[in-house]
Amino acid sequence: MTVTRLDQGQRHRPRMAFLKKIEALMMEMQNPDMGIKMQTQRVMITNIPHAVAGNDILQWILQRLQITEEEALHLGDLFVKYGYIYPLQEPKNLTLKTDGSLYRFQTPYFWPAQSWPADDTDYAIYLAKKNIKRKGILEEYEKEHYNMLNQKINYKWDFVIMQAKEQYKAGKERKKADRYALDCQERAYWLVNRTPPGVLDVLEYGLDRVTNPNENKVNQKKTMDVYRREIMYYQQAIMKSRVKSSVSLGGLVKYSEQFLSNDPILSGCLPSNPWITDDPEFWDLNAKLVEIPTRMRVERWAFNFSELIRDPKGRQNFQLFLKKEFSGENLSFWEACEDLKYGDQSKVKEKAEEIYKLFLAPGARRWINIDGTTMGITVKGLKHPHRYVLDAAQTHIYMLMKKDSYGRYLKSPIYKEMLAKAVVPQETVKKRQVKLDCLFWIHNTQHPGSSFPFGRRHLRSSPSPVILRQQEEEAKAKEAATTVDITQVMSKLDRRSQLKKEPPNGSNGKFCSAVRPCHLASPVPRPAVYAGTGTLPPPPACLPPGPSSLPPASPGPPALPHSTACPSPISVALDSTTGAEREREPQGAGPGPFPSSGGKSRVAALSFGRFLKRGCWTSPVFATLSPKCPALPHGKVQPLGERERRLRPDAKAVSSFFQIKMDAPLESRIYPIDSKEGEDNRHRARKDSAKEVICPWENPTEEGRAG
Amino acid sequence: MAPGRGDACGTRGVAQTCAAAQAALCKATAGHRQLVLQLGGSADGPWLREERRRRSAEARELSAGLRSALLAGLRQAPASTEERRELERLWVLFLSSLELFLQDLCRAHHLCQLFSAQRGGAALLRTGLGGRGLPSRKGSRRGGGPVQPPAALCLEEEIEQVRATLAEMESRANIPLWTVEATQSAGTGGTAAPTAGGAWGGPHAGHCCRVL
Repeated sequence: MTVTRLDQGQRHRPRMAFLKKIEALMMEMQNPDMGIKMQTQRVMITNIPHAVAGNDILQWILQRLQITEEEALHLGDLFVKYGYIYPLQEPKNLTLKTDGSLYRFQTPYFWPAQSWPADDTDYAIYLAKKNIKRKGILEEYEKEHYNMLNQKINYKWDFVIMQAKEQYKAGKERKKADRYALDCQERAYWLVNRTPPGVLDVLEYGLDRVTNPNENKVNQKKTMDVYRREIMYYQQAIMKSRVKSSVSLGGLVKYSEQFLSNDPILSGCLPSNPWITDDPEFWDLNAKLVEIPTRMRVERWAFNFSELIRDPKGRQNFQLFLKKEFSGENLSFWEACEDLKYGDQSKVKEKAEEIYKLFLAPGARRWINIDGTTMGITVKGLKHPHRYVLDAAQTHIYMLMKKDSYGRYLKSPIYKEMLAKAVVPQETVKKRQVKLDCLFWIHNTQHPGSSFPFGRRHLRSSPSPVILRQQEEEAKAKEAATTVDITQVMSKLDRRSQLKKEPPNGSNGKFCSAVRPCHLASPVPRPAVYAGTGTLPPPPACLPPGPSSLPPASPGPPALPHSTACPSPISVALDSTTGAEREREPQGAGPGPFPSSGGKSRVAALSFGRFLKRGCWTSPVFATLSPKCPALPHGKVQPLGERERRLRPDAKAVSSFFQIKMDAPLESRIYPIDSKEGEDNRHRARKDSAKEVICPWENPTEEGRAG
Repeated sequence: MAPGRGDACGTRGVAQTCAAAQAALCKATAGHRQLVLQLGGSADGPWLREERRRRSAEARELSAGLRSALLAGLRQAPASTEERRELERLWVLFLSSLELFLQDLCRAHHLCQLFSAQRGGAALLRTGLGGRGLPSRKGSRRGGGPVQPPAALCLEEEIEQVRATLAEMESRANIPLWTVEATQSAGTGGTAAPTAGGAWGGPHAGHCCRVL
């Protein structure tokens, strides 16, 4: 009874096509006319026919296959190694000797076969037989195998012994010559299949395959499923894009020409090749985020966009440029997508959410400009986030940067400045170093352990990747912290200037329009969105950081969304953005318009509020939002001028209502927006904001809830 | 323990007959293997194949008989522990020899196709063996048995038959392999005298294995 391991799905030996070819040759060798001439081996008093000389084998191969002698020798040697021919005089030496040493053909039963490997049980029987024949004749490695097998297949050991005895008896009944030949055959077989230590195991084939190469697929029953799979396969094959070979070759040539100067092997590298001169300066100069890159590197950025974006220093420089053009978020988004793809996959869901909140959500702080279809696909995919879920959007942004910004970048002063700054290292003199090395080696071998008086330069190890990564993370965090979103600053200034112009009561009438606090709430809570974007210095405003659960993540300037230009894609989901932070709170409620996330400057809030009232009421976007929110129940529309008056009295009410541990000022900050609407609307706003999460693919039940 | 002894005698008889049959089966498979060894070699020929077929039929007959005897023996529950153990041991041995036999049959099938008689026996390898060197058949032919094998099965059918037997046996009797312990010790110095059947609980050196 054979015990097999649990089928892990890989138990098929790989295809060994050469076996069949050797077999064919073997059979040809038998041809009485064209084959090899046979001799008789004389063993003591017995004559055993069918021996061949090594030289004859070689000559036959040469003549039959018409190859060089070296090849023929190698091929013949392989025949012996694979066990198709075995040597008679030196059984353990499986090589082809081209003198008169004799060989014999192995019986086909013992040919290496792909379908079955040499069996352990058989080996055990063989060893037992050998043992029975003469006790103690087993070699060391054979003894080891024997003991190991005894343990492994102990349950059938009786069978092994019994069968060994029977086989031995069966052999004894044959005449002597046959018995000798049979023994030789079997011994040769096991020398090939259970190689002694130190001998190369030619039948070693690596891992087992999952699919069985011997399976006869031609005779597979043609079910519907088979045909369906075939059709799918061929359809996909048709859809594969094809390129003319002339085109692809032309591309290769062009690439080679362009990159020839950058190739360290073909064109050498400056200052010197570290592998030759032991001088790591080349690596230092070309470190990932080195202060001043080499000229060659900077020139490379101009080859094509992928070169630029592949180089971290290039990305850094490009980002500088993009920031001037107010499209820095594109590159940041691209980098975030790369991190999602190649970073820690256990956090895929969180990362995807963060990216969405930061870049893709309507009203996101660093909203990227992608078309509606792509956005739709992405949002849909985000329901089940995986590492490639943002691929479509990433590609879009990549192409955008490539076609649009890249061209301007190459002409920009930023790039030109970098090019000018770039350093061209001098080629170091190599000879001296090599000589020093020789001397050092000689010295060391003669006086091991002593230090070399000339003070040879010590080999520094490159910085540990762990440290490098830490540095990168710190740099990233620092950058995120100090990042000032230009758009927000601009919009803030814009607002301020606007506010100065308008009288306080000017837009009273507008308030009666279908504007709900929820809408107002929406653009503001961008700070809520940025949980985890790094530490940002809280603005100097007096406001406390709000609920302790929230990280002080809001940026300095007020989180004004792209609603600076009113036709920003503010949608119902805007409400949800408020909810993002809110969901962390026990009630999931947030102050309607403003999130309590720490650090919102009160002044900014006030001005923002004013701005909204002034600027965006009549925006069509808001109009669309109106159906979502019910009409003002109480009609407590207060004139704007009363805002300040109402600030303090209602503060407490608000705070108690929302059960948020916040100071009064925070509430009052919030208050102005919905002072007109009163508490009920705030309540409603809370519900609106609580109704939905930043990420629209979550909590689908809440989406239905109207404000 | 008189009544017990009576029973024990009976079952011991079963075990003994089974053991004898097992030995015969081993012999038959060993002979069969030697014949298959020569397929494709210089000793190959129609005579060899005929002989192989005969041996194979004999082995199959033996196995059929042994199978029914063992099954019957195992089905009788109240056999003494010793006997039960012995029968299970024999069961394992029987299965092992059947597997080996099946393996040889497969190889024979493969070789017969490779060196099929239709090709005029071409390209038989000269392996140094002479034909007609088989052991005498005097002892192994059962007296009174039919001279001709009952039905000349072709190799595929033989293989199928043995496979079916194997499968049936495995499903019929639930004997975990690891409960059988060898009676012969491994000693490379020689074969020891069969010791008494080992302890029941010795588990097989554990791999995460499953019975084939």
